[in-house]
This record gives sequence, structure tokens and C-alpha cells, in this order.
Amino acid sequence: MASLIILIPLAACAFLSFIWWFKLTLSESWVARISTSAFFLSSLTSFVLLGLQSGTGLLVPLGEWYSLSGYAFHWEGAFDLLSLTLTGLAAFALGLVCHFSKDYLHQERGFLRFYLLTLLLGVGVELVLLAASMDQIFFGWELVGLSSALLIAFFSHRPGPASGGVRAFTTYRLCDIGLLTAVVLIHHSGGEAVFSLQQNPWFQVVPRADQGLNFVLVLLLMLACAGKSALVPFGGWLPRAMEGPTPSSAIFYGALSVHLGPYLMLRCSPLIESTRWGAAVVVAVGLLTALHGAMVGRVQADVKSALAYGSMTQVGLIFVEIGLGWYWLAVLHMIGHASIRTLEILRAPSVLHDYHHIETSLGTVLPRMGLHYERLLPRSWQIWLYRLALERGYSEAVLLNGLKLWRKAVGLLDGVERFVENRIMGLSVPGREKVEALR
Amino acid sequence: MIENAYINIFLYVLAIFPVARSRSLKEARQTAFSVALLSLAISVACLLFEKSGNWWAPFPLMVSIIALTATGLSSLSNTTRRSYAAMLLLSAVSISYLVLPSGWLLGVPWCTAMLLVWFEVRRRSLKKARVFAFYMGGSTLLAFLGLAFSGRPEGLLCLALALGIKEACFPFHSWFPSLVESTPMGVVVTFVTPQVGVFLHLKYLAQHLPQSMHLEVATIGIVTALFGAALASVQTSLKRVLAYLFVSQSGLVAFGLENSSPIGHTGALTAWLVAGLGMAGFAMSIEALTARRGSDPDLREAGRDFESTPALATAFMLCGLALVGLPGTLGFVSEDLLVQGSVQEFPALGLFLIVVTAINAITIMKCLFSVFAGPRCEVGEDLTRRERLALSLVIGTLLLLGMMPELLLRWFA
Repeated sequence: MASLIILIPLAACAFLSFIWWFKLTLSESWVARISTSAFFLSSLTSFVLLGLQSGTGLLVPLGEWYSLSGYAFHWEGAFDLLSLTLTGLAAFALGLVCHFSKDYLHQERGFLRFYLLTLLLGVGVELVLLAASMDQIFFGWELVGLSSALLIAFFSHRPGPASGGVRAFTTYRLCDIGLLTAVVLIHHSGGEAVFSLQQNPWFQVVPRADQGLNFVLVLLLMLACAGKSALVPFGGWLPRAMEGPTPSSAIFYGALSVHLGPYLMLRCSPLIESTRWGAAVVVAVGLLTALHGAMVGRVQADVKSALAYGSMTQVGLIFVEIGLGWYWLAVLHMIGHASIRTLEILRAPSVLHDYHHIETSLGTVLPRMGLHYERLLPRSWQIWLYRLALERGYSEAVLLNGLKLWRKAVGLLDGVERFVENRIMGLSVPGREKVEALR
Repeated sequence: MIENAYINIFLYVLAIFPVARSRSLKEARQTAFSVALLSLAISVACLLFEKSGNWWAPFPLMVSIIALTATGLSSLSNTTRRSYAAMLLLSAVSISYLVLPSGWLLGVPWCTAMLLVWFEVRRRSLKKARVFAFYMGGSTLLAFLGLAFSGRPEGLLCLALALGIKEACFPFHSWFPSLVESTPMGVVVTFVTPQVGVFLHLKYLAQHLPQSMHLEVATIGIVTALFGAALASVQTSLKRVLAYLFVSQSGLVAFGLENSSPIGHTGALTAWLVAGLGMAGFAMSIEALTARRGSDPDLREAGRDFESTPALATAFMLCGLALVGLPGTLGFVSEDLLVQGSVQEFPALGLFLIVVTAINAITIMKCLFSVFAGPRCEVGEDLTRRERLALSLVIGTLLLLGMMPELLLRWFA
């Protein structure tokens, strides 16, 4: 029964993929119904298991995938308070979003594709949440990244979404180097990548004896989190990710995808605890992200970008809590933030209408709130900070310059390549072939 | 198992004449496609009934799927009847390495393949044929020298170099991008994606190579992989991206083969199969795309909306991402085994492997989003039934073996 939490959305995803690939017809209402009920069933299973669960948690072996001379990939589920609560809530939120999208995306050309990718996201998220080892987390982590990038580029007839998708995927994949290296390092150092129960009431990574190694692992995992949870300095993709359909933005960047980073850190908190510097890094990155998000979010001109930066701020704070060791607070913060942010993003397209409604009911204009910076800081600082916020803290400019440098260097190499090729072809000057063709 | 190879060779050679003499191009394509389908069915049946076998048992299956994709998706505009016949003969040549005894006789399939492709290139561009002849002539010469001095260290070096050129390893890869640009993709795919160099390397070279050379070959593999990945990331033409991606993949396979740990070695063999199938699917979807758009897509220009060719875009994405370890496909298994197996022996190189797959994944997604994003196009130009069948088989195999890798690993372990 335990594996049903993942198998139900997976079966729905496989079924819809089959329909889609072989161009069979299925009405919109059925597509939505199948997806919604798959998620609700999965959520129900989680909550039933949570109710039945006694004690702290169980590691349930779900079978061996492949094994080879001493190395094996096992499927195991970590069923504890943390994972079951979060899978239940995640599946419930996904079900709600699927139900909401039925009307929102009615008659849209990629209706089925949207549901397919949302189901894929669901499978990926549940895999990460229920994973009992770092290897399994990596499996789900990649699926979430792919479905996220594809959903950002959902409206592929406009240039914005496509470039946003490329940007998100590039960030994800580069930062995932950290996760994969960490997994390999854990195996390489002779340790078990499988979680175990320690002082916290949920399953966690066993820290290594070597403090230096633990610190390196924290750094690598933070790199992975910085990609997925849009931490400083890799958060530039998050506002651009809002180019996707609103329901998917809500569920990805309000609720599930951005919180996978904190979740990974909760599973790996013994590593943070074992080194003081590791904790310092987590707190510092979290704090910087929160400040960055709060500052840049204030100057955004559109509601979805402002909400994206709001998400970033809260996720930064969650990281600070994790770094300080306040795990339960972090869990509650995650759940609370996910719920309210999803609602806000879903409501974002009609925010003006809502404002009008409230103001007409009140009979007065709503007062402006949250003007701390304006009250507390001197005028000269405000102008300077405003500029910094408009430039998104210059973090993007630095990263983009690095990318340009890479392009230039490799472009040079490419030039040498073409020169060699042309020399063998008997063309001494590159481009002469074109001239000859013109003649 | 050997019977399977003989039947397949016989089938392909027999089919050459009706294909070359068919009345129309469509008929040639239909015949070639049917023959590849039949050969696939035979290979699957043989594998199912085979209880014990060695690591090359899945090779005929791989070749037949490649042949099926190549013949099914070649566009009629740049493929001739002779090209279809060449594709079949090239498949027969690839399988013939399995049954031929070692020695001078190996020169026959080697030279046949080179000549077949050379004729195809020459008909389209004399200059590109010169590049091909320059490298492949050198490779053949080195191979013969290697055979002449067999058993001596110089001979081994010559053979290793010959295979390095054939597999487009750095710095002997320059022939490959120009070949991809100028030759019908089906011919290129049937020539390079079975990667017979890997097979020959394992069968004739690996045992004789001194222990000290393993690190060098592995380093060349990783340098090739990194070089290919870097160059693929800055190309502006889709076909050149494909060429450098292949260079990168063949570097990864070469790197993995030098592992002495069984995990890394099995990972390399799995990567070999993934590279063969994934590259064939990826290359042929580019060919199908080129046929629809009229020219090799330029990545700097806007493409067309995803929804105008959804299945083609999906095939492009899945085959491409399978190469870089998409979870759920065989690529994930191969990447996992390769990384876990190699990190013990070559820790620093293992890290580069992770970087290479990341760069390649980004390149593939960048191509996807620039080719399949753009103004809406209402004209349906998605995959035809034949194309869909061929790509379904490629993707289905990658997914099935990705879900149940034990089916494959029992051959490789």
C-alpha cells in the first residue's frame, strides 16, 4: 500500500502519455478528472498511512532496481511523520491545482501536455519526499527540474517562456552537479547513502566522522538547493519562471519545487550540526537570500514577479531556521508558506478586481503598508538601494558575464576547429567556400 | 547467438538488390524499412530464447533498431536508392564484426564501410570527401600497420590510434562535423552509431593494453567528452551540435571502458547502447525536422511552436535527454554505474564526467527550446505513422530497459 502514493500518479502519467503519444482523443474533463483523482487518492493514502503509523517511522523496502558486484540501487520508502505529512499535503495541493486548471486552461492547445507535466512533477516530488536514500532523491530531483523547465516554456509561441525555460533548466542542471557529486562522495567515502533514525523524529543522513568532509558535503548540497530553491546568487530564474501558466507557477514556485531545498536540508541536518562552519554557511546564504528577495521584490512592476521574490524571501528565512537548528519551526513555516503562496499566485490574475472589490466594500482607499525601508533609512541610502534592487543585486550580471566568458573561450576553440577543417578541405581562408559557391 | 548474426547479415545483404533496383524512392524506403523491422523481430526473438550469452549479445538488436530508425526517418529529398542500400549494407557490415575471426579478414568490412560512406559524401561535396578520406585513409593505414605488427607494442599503438580516429576521439574528430553536415543522416547514423570501434577495442585491444596505459586512454576519453560538450554548447547549427554531442558521448564510452572495476565497465557498455540508440533517435529526429523546415535549423532564429509538431519535439527531447541520464531511461542507469564505478579509480576524472553530462543536458534543452519555440504554425507536419513507429521503438527500448535494467545487465555483468 505504501508505494501507492507514488504509483497512482505514475499510472495516471503513463496512461496520459500513451494517449498523447498515439494521438488518441480524450475529453478535457476526463483528463482533468483522471489527474485530480489520482492526486487526491495519493493524498488520501498518505493520510491513512499517517493515521495508521505508530512509533517514529519505518523504512519500507520496495524492491531492488539493479545490483552489480557490490553496488545496488534499492527502492526504499522512508515513511515517517515528516514525509507522510508533506506527501499528503503536496498531493492534495496538486489535486486542487489540477481541478482549478480545468477551467483556467479550457480550450488551450497544450491542455493535455499541462496535465502530463503536472503529473510528472507530482511523481518527482513524491519520489523526493519519500526517498530513503540520496540516490533516490537525485532521481526525483531531476524529474522535478525537467517538468519545471517544460512547464515554464509551456506557451512556446512566445519567446519569453522559452528563454525562461532554458534559464531555469541551465541553473538547475549546473547546481545539480553539487547534488550528484555529494551522492558520489557519500558512496566514495565508504558510507551508506541510506537514511537512518537519529535524534530527530525523522530519517536522516548519517554524518561522516571527518568534519572536513561533512563541510564539503554541506557546501555541495547547498549548491543543489541554491538552484532548486532560487537562493542567492542563482535565483535569477525564479521571476522569469512566472512566464508559465499561473496554476503551475503557483504549485511549483509557491509550494513544491522551491521547498525541496529546505526539505533536502532537513534530511541532511546532521551534516550541518556536525560542523559549525556548515551551519554558518546555511544561515548566511539564507539571510542573504531573504534580504535580496525582500529588497528586489519591492521594485517589481508586476504582481507575479513580486510574489516570486516574496517566495524567495520566505525560503531564505526557512534556510536560516534550519541553519539555527529550529527544525520544527522550519517545517511549519514551509507548510504555512506553501499554502498561502499558492493561494496568492492562483489569485494573482484577478488581484486588481479583488482590490476594487475590497475598496468598494470598505468605502475608502486601502492604506499602503510595509514602508519600513522608507521610514527607517535615510534618503541617500534609499536611492542607492533602489538602484541595487533594480539591478537585482548585480548577481545576475556577474553570472551572465561568466557565461559570456565561457562562450568567448569556446568560440575561439571553435574557430580553430573550423580553420583546421577548412585547411584539410583545401580552403586556406575560412569562408572562401561561400565565395566559391556564390560564383 | 551467432546464428542471429548470420541471419541478420544474410537478410540485409539479400535486401540490397531489391532496394537498389526498386522503381521509386518510396518503394526503396518501404522495402528497407520492412527488412529492418523483420531483422529487429528476429533479434528480439533470438534474445528472448537465448539463455546464456556474452556481452555483445544485444549488439544485433541495437544495430537493427538503428537501421529501422535510419531507414524510417530518412527524408526522400536528399536520400537516393543507393543511400538506402548503403544503410542496409552498413548495418550488415557492423554485425559482421561479430562473426569474423580476428586477422586480415577484418579489413573487408572495415574498408567496405569506409568506401560506402566515402561514395555518399563524394556525390555531394568533393571537399568534404577529401576530409573524410584524409582521416579514414589514415585510420585504415594505421589499422593495417597494427595488424602487421600485431603482438608488438607499436602494433597496439597503431590499432588504438586507428580506433580513436574511427570513434572521432579528440584530436582526430574533425572529420565528423563535416560528414554530418554533408551526408544523408541515415547513412551517417548507420555508419557511426553502432560504434563498432568499442566492440573492436574490447575484443582485440583491451586485454593487450598495458596497465599503465589505462589512465592515458581514460584521460583522452574525458578530454574528448569535455571538448565535445564545450563545442556543442556554442554551435549555431543543429547538425553541428549533433556532431559534437556524438564526439562527447564517444569520449564518455571510451573513458568508461578503461575502468577496471566491473561496475564502471558495465556502465560503459550500457552507455554504449544508450549512445547508439539515443544518438540514432536524436539524429533522425533532426533529419525529420530538417525535412520539414527545408534546411538545417539555425539555433539563432526562432523555430516553430511546440504544438505544431508535438510528437517530433518529444522524440527529440527524450532521445536527447536519454543520452544525458534522464531518470526513467536507460541513460540514468548508465550514468549512475559509470559515475559510481569510475570514481574509485579516477576520482578527478569522475567529477568531470558529471560536469560533461550537465553541459550536454543544457545544450540539448537549449536546442529544444530554440527549435520548438516560435510563432504558431497551424499546418500539421507531425510524425507520420512510419516515423512514429520507428521512434516509438527507440524510445520504448530506452524506457523499458531503463525501468528494468536487469534485462540488460545480465548480459553485461
